[in-house]
Amino acid sequence: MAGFPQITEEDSKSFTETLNELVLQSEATSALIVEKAGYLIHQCGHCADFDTTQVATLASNAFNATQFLASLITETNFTGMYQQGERFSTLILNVDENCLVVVIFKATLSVGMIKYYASIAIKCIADQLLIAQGRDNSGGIDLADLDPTNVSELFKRRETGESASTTP
Amino acid sequence: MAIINQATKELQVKIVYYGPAKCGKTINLEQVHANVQVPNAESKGKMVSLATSSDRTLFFDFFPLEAMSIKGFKTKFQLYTVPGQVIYNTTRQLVLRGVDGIVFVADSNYEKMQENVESFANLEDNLKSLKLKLDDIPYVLQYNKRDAANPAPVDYMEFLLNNREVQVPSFTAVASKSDGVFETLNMIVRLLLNKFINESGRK
Repeated sequence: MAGFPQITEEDSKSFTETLNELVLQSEATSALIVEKAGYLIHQCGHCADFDTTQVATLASNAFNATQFLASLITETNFTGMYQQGERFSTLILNVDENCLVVVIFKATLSVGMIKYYASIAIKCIADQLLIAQGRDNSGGIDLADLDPTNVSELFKRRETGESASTTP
Repeated sequence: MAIINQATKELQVKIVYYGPAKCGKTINLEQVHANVQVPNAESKGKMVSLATSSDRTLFFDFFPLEAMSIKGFKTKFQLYTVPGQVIYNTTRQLVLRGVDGIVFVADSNYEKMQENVESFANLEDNLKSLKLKLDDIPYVLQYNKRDAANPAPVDYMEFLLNNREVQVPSFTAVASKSDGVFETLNMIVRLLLNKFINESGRK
């Protein structure tokens, strides 16, 4: 299985265009590209109202779990899942073996319409990911001269009496 | 596998805390979440716990933690636990997907040695099911609950769990008091960075 490719400016621009178009056409609230291990890759729309990192993690794990459930009942074709809410709903759709699209939309909108526009977006995202997969990614992060002992205490324990969330 | 985003200059890495039931995986995450120093509030996300009514992990615990920039890349760690109970094996497989580094938390209570060994074997089996090998993934061992009434000697736990061709770093801990928690986390981060450095050197 090929892993998720490195994302470049070109990919990011393409994802922004695609997700913005999806949000605009479908009137969805926000749209996310999520890697199936739980990473949030890209997001567009009104994302400030939601913790999109949590949404990405929960959506990917829920998708993986339901896909496994489907396979247990001998269903091999599993392409998406839908959470129906009273205010907001979520549609999670498969893009490829590594990637999902998550659309958050007002519950008053038709899921069929969201799915229609999302399917167009999925094709664009999948095409861009193929381009990214085919790119030479050997120029990633060059850590060759990094001394890991310098970062061996990357995370430090807060001393008693310090603020719970920040360092002074 | 780690995600490199050149556009946003982000490196995202997944670390999974694995081990038998009630060994202290969730408490490790809770202690990090409660006590870690972060430069600003945004560096640490909320902790998500999908647990049963009796506070046993049902699916996973999770929180994102941002470290300092490394070579201009914002480094984001995703910390997960798996459910330890034997019946939730499918869930453990799901959570292991895309794992970059593992903290194996063992229970130091003498009577838990068999469960530790079985859980370690289960980890290897689950990695195999994902076409991964433990030897290829950075991991550390944490011998938790050293304050137990009848803890097994560390040498014995090393013999049981760290008796492979390449020995990995191991730490004693009392996670409920935060002892050993940050040492363990920093070591897995260090091993992960070492791995990235080695991979950079091969290019």
